[in-house]
Amino acid sequence: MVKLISSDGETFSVEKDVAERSILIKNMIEDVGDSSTEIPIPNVTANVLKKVLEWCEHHKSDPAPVSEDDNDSRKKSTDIDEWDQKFMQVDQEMLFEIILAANYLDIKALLEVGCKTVANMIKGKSPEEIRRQFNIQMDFTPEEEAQIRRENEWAEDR
Amino acid sequence: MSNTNYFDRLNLLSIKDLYNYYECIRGLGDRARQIYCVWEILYIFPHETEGYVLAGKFYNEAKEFDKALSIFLAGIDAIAPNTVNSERLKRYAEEAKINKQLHEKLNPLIDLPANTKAHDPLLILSSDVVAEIFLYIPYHERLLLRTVCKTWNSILLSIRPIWQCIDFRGAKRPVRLSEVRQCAEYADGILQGLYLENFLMTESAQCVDVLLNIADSHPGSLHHLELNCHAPSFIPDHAFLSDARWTTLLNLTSLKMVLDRTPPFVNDVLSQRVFPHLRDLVFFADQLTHIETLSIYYNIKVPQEKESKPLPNLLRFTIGSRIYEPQHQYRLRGTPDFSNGEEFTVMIVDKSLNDLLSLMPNLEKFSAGRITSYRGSLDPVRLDMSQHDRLQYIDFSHCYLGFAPITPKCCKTLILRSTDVSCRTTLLDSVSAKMRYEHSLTSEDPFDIDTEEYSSVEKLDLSGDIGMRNMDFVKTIARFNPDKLKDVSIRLIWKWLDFHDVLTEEIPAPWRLSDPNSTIADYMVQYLPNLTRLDLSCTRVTDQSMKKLRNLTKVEYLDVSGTRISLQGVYELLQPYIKSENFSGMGAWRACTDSWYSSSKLKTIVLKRCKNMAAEDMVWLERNRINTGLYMHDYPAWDHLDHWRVESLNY
Repeated sequence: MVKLISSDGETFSVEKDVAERSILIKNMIEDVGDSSTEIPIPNVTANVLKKVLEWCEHHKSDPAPVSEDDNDSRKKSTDIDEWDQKFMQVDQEMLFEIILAANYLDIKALLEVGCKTVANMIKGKSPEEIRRQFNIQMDFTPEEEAQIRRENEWAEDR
Repeated sequence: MSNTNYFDRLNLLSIKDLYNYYECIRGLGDRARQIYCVWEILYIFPHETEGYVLAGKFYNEAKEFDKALSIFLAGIDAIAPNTVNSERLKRYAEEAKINKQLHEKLNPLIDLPANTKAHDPLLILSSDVVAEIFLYIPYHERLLLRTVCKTWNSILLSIRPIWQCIDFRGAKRPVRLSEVRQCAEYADGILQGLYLENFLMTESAQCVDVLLNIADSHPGSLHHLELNCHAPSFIPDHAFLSDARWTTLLNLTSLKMVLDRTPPFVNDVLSQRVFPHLRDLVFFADQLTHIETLSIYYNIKVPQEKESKPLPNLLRFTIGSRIYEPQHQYRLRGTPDFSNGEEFTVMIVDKSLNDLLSLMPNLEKFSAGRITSYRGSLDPVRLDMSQHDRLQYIDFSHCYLGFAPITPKCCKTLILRSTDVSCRTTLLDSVSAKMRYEHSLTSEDPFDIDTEEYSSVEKLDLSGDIGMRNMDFVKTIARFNPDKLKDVSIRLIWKWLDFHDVLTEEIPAPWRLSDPNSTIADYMVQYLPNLTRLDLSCTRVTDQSMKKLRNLTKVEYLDVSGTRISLQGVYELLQPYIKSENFSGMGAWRACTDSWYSSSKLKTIVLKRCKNMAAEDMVWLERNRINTGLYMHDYPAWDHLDHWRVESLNY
């Protein structure tokens, strides 16, 4: 068992292989050489860490990801597995917190799911819909907007 | 094309069916398919008031009042003026206008549930995460998203990975060179990929220069180049690659080109004089006559040992041709998928493919489309790939091989679609299918090699093999390892179905699972218990066989399109999950689906073009979460509506 301490001081005891889904924690355990030491996670609050660990628990026996080809330009699929989709049904604040935590803790697969979730929120939407989705104020003058659209005539014609 | 024309072809859906279907997917909340559906209704029934009402209401619900308004106005134009219906549309248009004004007044407050905070991800997340997110979004959408707000514009433009690959594949209209040039600027000197499909014809003369300038201004940075443009006039003589320009493209790792004659550089590539880092190579011919394609491949020289080293970095190699179909002109995208080709002719590489392949010792994936390794020879060369000990994927769709190729022990995917290996004909396509079939009756066993060769194969595609009879199939399957083999496809190519109907009058029935006692189905259950995907489309699988196939408990995906399966057959398949004794459609489906969904692995039964299935049965299956593969774009006549194609079929 590994003990993790969130930024707000809560302690989580988890199995080693669950915690080691995070490359950061894995490296820390290796560095310390003793898995009974408490590991502080200063950037992640308890409610987010709990959620992240829930994900790690469910995915603890996933095979290591196959290293991606360098051809990253190939159209990437944003399909998300059913469990992960449900897992990501949280409010935006939590979603972004999870992504930040996954990035910080270096959990590639979770980061990927998070990014796909956000990409699905953006994909296929008009700029107006995006503004509404993320509560963004339109601050272009009509002339400026027209200028950008002219630069990319392509974008006009979806 | 008149509406009735469509109707005849569809033979399945009337406008009422479309409404039902729409209601069904609306119930599922599947917005993408709703959009698809409303536009199809408008397209097919442009004079039906209901279509406009439906479409307008859809956009109303989606709060896109501008679009709703324009649809109602279009409807008023399209139908007879001063009728009840036009008045109705006018009323809707008024409503849309008011809604729009209201919405603008209250926006954005109206959209946000009181306790949900919305946040701008670009301000919260780091730039490498933002880059990762935007790489999932199609390139042309990224361009449009710059107009969201000033912050988005500057943040997006500042993250270079987002702009590193210019990718206009899937283009709905030809791209302009000025756009490509502009986009190259965003990459700011580190342009890595250029993927182009279509140019304006009027610009194709200058495109050589423009692409060249772009490549020159990013020396050595370009890794991926894809010029999938099917105009033969595009790049005259491929001159831009035949001269000393290679240095700017030195680091190319993937190259995909449409050929219209053998450019000198093809041989240079193969003899490794250029592009030493190449990992992925696709040459394919398009929009060509038989003679033209022939000359391309005829002129490819296989370099001799002395002249060249092998290409150790090359992992994927695709060569072949595809018939250009005018109605598909905006559909070319991605890697050519030979296994889906429906029209085909034979193309000749009149030298052994073995020599060519021996230059690529580390190949992982090899695809060939419509090539043949011999021409009218009485002693066809058997393709031997046993030395390629990394080769996992082999696709010989529509190639005339004579023998099944000798595969390496690591091969996982073997696609021999329409190769006629079981016929072992030494004749080309000028010979009638009937003769080929007769020939097959006396031919030797094409798979006449050690069983072990196929021990690692997981996916086998023997579709469209007209010589294959029931017992051949049994013999063939016995060579594979039942613990490994998970995915089997033995469909007949659709266009051949009619042919077979004629054929059966004269010749004993060819392979089609036509046995009344379902022995083949029995055999599959007994010998291939681990199958997860099975494609039996266009065979003569019967309702009775479905009952047997029920015992293939691991199957997740079953395709029985174009068969005579009726609702009874589906019932036979689902029977263990149906509680109600009285199986009469809707009520029973409801009863079965919960237990079905939780306990059965089978989630998809593809039932396209099953004449014995009624549209409403399909709709009900869909509504009960059984994916039947019924999407309206399955009908050939609707192909040009491609841009409404829904990408994700999962829900």
